[in-house]
Amino acid sequence: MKRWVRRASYFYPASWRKRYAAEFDAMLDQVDVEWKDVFNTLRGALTMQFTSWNFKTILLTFGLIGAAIAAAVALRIPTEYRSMSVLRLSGDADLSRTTTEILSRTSLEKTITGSDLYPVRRKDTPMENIVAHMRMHDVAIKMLRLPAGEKNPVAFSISFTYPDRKLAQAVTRELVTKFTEVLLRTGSLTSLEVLDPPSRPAQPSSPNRYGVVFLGLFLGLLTGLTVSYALRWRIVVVRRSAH
Amino acid sequence: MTDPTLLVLASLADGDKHGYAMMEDIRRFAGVRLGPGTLYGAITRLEERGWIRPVAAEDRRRPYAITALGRRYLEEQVSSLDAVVKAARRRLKHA
Repeated sequence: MKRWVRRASYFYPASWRKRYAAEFDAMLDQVDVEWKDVFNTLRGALTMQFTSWNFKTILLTFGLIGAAIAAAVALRIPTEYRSMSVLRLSGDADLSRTTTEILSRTSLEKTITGSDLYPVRRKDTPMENIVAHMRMHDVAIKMLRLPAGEKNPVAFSISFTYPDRKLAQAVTRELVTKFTEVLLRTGSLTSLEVLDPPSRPAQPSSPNRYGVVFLGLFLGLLTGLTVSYALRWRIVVVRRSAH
Repeated sequence: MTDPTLLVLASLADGDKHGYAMMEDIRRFAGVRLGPGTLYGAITRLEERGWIRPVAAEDRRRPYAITALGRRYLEEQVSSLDAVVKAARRRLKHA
C-alpha cells in the first residue's frame, strides 16, 4: 500500500518533490497506510499541480482532456449514411394520408423484416419500439418547396438513415416505390417525377466527429476557465484570511 | 474543527514536531486522522504563509516550529471559535 502512496506522490510538482519528498517518504515509513491515503495523496498532488500552473497551462490541459474524451466518444458513435430521393408531383394528391400509410406500423414492419434491418436490436427490443424509432429518427419525408403559379405542384424528399449505405439506398428506393404506388392509388395526379433517384451515400451523414471533438475542446476550455478562476478566488480568500 | 491548517498549528503550539508526530498528536487531541496528502498540503501552505518554519533535521524527518505570525493567527482563530462556543453554550442553556 505504501508503494501506491509513494507512486501517487510522484504527481506532486517537481519543485514540491524537491523540497518535501524526503520527509514525506520518512513519514510514510512510520504511518500505517490505508487505501484512502492513496486517493488522499493523489488529490493533494493534483491540487498542488493545479495551483502551481499558470492560467494558460490550466486552460490548455483541460481543453486537450476535453477534446481527447470527446474524440473517444465520437469514435464510439456508429457511422450512419443517409440516402435521399427527391420527387415532384402535380395534381390532387392526399399527401397526409400517403405519408401516414407509408409510416404505418404494418408498412414499416414489412420493410424491417424484408430488408433485415436492425438485426441486433430486434433480438431484445419489441418490434413496436423499433418501428417507432425508425419512424421518428431514420425515415424523413420533407416538403421542399411549393412554388406559386402552378396547380398544386409539390416537391418533397424521402430519406432513410442507416449504418449500411447499400441498405440505406435500398430502403429509400422501397419507400419511394411505396409512396408513388399509394399516391397513384389514392389521388388524381397529372404528373409524378423522380427528380433525384435514391442516392448511394459516399460520405457518412453522422456523426459529425470534428463537431463532437470541437464541442469537447470548448467544454474543456470552459472547465479550465472555471477551475482557473476558482483557484484564483481560493488563493485570494486564503491571502485575505492570512492578513 | 477539521481545518487541517488550524490542527497543524494547534499541534505545533506546544513544541516542534515532524510529519508523523503531528499526525499522531492531531489524532489524539482532535480525534481526526489527517491523510498524508492533507497533512503535507497544510504544511506547504503554512510554510508559504510564514506561519511555520522547518527546523534543523537530524535524519530524513524534518521537524517544524510555529512562528510568531502563526501563533498570532492561531490565537485569533481560537478566540473567534471560543466566542462561538460560548454563545452556543449560552443559547443551549436558555433553550
